Amino acid sequence: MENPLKRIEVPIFLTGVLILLLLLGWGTTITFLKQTSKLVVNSATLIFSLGLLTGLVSVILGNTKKVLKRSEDWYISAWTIIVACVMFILGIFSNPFGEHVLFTWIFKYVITPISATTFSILLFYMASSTIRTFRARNLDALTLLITTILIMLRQAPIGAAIWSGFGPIGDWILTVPSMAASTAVLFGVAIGGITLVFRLVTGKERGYLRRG
Amino acid sequence: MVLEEGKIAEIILLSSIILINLWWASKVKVSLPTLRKIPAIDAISEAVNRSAEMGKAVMFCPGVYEMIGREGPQLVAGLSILSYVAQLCAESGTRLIAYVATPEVIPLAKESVRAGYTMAGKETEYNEEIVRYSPGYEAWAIGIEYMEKLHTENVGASLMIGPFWSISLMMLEEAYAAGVYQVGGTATYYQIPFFVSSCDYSLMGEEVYAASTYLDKNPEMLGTIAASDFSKFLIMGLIILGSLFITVGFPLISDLLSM
Repeated sequence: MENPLKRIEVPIFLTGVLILLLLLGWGTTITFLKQTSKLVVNSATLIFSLGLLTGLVSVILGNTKKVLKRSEDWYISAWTIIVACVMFILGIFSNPFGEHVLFTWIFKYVITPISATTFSILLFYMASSTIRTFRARNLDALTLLITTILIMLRQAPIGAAIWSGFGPIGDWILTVPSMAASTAVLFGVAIGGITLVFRLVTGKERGYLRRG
Repeated sequence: MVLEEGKIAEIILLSSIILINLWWASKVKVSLPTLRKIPAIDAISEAVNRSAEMGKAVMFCPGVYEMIGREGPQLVAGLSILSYVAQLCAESGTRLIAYVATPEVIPLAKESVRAGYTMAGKETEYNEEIVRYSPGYEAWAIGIEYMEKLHTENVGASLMIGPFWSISLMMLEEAYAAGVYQVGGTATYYQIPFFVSSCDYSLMGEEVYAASTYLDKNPEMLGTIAASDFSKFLIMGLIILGSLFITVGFPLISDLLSM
């Protein structure tokens, strides 16, 4: 007999019920619904946190296979396993009311600088993207190019040094047409999101499940 | 009062949008709405076909945000498209590589890919190693790994559809530099310009949510696309009326919306 918990209707039903609970908790003043809604959110956060453990196991297992098979760059996989295990063990022994010195040191002086370095490389990618994109091929592209130059002159100190008018022009572009366009996109995204949630609640959106 | 004060207008608007969706869901049983073609959605199958012809792999990333955040619905849309791409790859015998950035998405991504292979009638060809998890602080690791694999895994097409943040520009530019056919899309509005500048075809904003519906061709789901457009007309009408009223010094609409 088919396991009833494996039926696709179970996650669809749970999704619908939990979304409705969250909406009712958000929109009403009924204490029971508000508390249930808070419980659902806390449970989701807990499941997400436990999911991090799943991720850790997945990383260790995946990299262990590469090490055992001696795949290309297997030593990088070995280093990944060592780092993951060290940080996990240090994290386990962290004082929940304080900090573990070594854990914090590794985070502040190893992980954060590496993240900052990677973030900095973005500048060069942005420059290459800009060089390719801002070309006056037609009227729309020319408008985009001129607007970009005006905004760059507004943002960079050299713009104010050349002419004080770049500031108000740039401010107007940012606060009027740019704000209008981004608000329009946000409206569309918000309504699209509501429609997707409607499809989730009614069980019509099944692409993220087994498409049953 | 049962309804939360300060949220009554939002509740009424939300209820109106839901009613519009329900109305369209019943209307499509009589006649289907005519939807405009979105080139980026057709480009998804073109990307898979091109990779199949060249004997190269397809790389897919459904986003780098968590499921429980504000970008969760985008991730759901991305996973639906992943399932469709998996089906196309299975049918054409193209290798698929899917990258996920958060652990709670791993089982969903695996199920989406498995469903795609099952729909293509090739469930036995499904491999657990299609979905790869790349963890990391602020999703840098998945970006770096994605960029590296674009060059080392013989990739013909890169599909990035879902919620992204700053790492997306690096992934997109690297794919452009590698000469890979790119189809991308995001509803994270400050990332949209990067997708438009680097991708061959891009889905902007709500088109990401509409894409999974478009590909499914289910009439009731197609009705929700028309419903979202109707809802936009409602919002536009309120904005225009509100602007006119407040210009003449009559703040009726703005007072109602702040209820």
